[in-house]
Amino acid sequence: MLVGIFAAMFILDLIYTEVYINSISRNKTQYLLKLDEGEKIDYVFLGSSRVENTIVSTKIETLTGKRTLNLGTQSAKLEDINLFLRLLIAKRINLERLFVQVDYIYDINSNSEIVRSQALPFIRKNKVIEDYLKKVDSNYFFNYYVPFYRYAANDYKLGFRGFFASLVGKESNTDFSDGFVPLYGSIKDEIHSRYELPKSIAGSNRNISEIDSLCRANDIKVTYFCAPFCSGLQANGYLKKLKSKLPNFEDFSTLISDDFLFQSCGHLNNHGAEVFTEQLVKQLNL
Amino acid sequence: MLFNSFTFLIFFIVVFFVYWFPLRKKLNAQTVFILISSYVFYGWWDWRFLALIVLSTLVDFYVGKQLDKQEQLQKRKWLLALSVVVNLGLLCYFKYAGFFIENWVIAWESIGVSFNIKSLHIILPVGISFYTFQTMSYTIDIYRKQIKHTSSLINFAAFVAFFPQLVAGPIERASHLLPQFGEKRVFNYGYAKSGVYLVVWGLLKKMVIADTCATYVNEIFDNYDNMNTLSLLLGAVYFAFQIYGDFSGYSDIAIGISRLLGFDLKQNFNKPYFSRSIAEFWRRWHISLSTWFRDYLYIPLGGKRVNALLKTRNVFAVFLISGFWHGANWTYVSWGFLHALYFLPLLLFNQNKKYPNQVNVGFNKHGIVNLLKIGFTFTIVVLAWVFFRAKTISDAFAYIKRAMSNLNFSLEYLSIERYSFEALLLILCFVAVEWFSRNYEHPFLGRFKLLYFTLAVLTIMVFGVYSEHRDFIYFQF
Repeated sequence: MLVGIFAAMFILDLIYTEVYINSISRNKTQYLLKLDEGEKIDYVFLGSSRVENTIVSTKIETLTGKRTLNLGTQSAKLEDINLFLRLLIAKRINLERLFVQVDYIYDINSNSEIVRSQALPFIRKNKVIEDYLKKVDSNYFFNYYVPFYRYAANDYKLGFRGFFASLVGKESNTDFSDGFVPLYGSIKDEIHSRYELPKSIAGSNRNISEIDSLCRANDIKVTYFCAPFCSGLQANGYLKKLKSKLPNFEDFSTLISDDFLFQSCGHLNNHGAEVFTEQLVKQLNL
Repeated sequence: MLFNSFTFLIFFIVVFFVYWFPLRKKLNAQTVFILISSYVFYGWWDWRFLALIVLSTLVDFYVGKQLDKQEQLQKRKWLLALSVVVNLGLLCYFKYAGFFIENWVIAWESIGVSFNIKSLHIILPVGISFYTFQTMSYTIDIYRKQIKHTSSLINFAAFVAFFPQLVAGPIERASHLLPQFGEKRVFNYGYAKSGVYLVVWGLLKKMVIADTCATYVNEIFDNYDNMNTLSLLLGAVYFAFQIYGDFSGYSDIAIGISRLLGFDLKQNFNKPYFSRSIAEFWRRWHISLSTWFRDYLYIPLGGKRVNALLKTRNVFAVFLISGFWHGANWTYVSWGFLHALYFLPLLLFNQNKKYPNQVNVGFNKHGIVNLLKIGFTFTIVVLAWVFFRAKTISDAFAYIKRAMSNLNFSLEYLSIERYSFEALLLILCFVAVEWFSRNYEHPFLGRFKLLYFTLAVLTIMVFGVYSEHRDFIYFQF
């Protein structure tokens, strides 16, 4: 019986992996892995939802004529941003300029569970992902060596529903060639109208150093920036300290003064995102 | 240590091999090993609470021994009282003290007297309601001279702490389980195979049905004030299957594991949602608890051999206490109250013994009537489950009120990124399997049993919920 179960796990693993690898892109990791080798993308924005919901790539393309990709992913941290950059480099993407959203995540070296689960189907197929998971995944051994374990243990994201949606080619709501995910509505309550940044800042960040050296080695101009916060931001001098650590850092935290343009204190709504993207193009002379 | 965890798998593999290989021909050593394994299993949650099991074991072992020796009725009563006070005392302290104090304070505050009492924050030991009832039945049965005491403390301790059923039943009777610890155990392949079938069927009920439903139930009950009628109805139905899959799944696994060790436990569930009346439902749902209340509360109160008024009192006593047994919250009491209301007319009109057998539905008028009765019984059971699941009684009423007043039946996309109806497909498949195997303890039957078994294993692998390990609901009781 145990042999039968193991054989079933092995076969299921094969089927699930093949489907996730060959299906249409249903998340940004899949999209990135499907980009053509050597493809030209002028501007790439990396970061968390504060990029995903903020940077309107099509707007930048219209205003500048430059191909732009928003690879912001919900709850992404610097470890995930580092992964995305490495994947872009591994794909030899012809990248002119990279924009990385940094705020309090400068203090954090961890990763996003969402990105981790998106990467799991490729654990044995992509060296960059394998290295990333080796670093961030506490279950790396089981995920790598035990067939089907990664799909069962992450059933909410990679289980049967995800597998079936991929199999039948159900498209995601996000247009990955753009990557922007709009938020609707304005700040509704008191809780979402405030935001406090830490009072102190970490001495350095390993991922930032790695991103810097990767960009240098691959001739990519990197700009760090902080996306807007609402008027309820209590910055505690954090962003000034960040600027002292990152010379190529642009602070846009107070660029949008109208709270009506925010969906929550750290996230612009669709209209706010349009306004900010337009100002960003001007501020950075894109 | 959860049955559906990797830790338990390793634990059980070790127990199984040590039990059947080095200790195969050593009965006493096997029993000692079961006792040690049971204490390890229980201590995995919180070793400190092992002291409670040991205390309960020692007191009831001593009381049982003395009861058998003692002939004077008064002294026998005192001995029984000692057992009941210790067991119920532990139960009341750990489970109900906080509740009583809180309600005492609320009652005084309602007339303007305020207290400043700090919350007790007592941790509820897992399974305390189950093993206290099991040990009490031992002393009560000896008091009634229905069984003799055991002279082996090891056997008795193993009976109290037997790990497959320690934390969530079935609540065994000493007359059934205790003698098995003194009998030679021989590995029986057929019996062990039936155990494996039950374990797999129980895991499917828990990991596929209960845990899938739980995702939807939590979302719908936590946000009921934003849900439409269809979602609220689905939420209540999902909870009915969540608690059934969870609890009967646990019982199946417990029975199956016991069989793998050569023990027989009593059936705890018998397809309760195919009942044609509430009385039949209670003969099929949590059988070990309902028969416990029948034998140790309902019958001593006079049962149905009393006048209508006392019958009513007895029914309400049993169901309200049964509700309260589930937890220190008025929602459980309301659930018990509703079931008492459902049950009482059947008792008063002598309809409670109807339907002793499994339902048989044919393509005729009788069959349709039976199906309608099953539908009606299921509906009122689901209504009561809303009280059981809701955080407060007012939440339960608000839930029902919204379900009846909103009247919007559109399909809602929930914030868990699923449509509210999705779990229904799984439930319908499950109900169909249960229906066609309703005369048996599991569906792995006939010529294709190996195929069905393989499909069940694949179903657990593909549809099981692994990412969020959920405790069995009845652990909290």
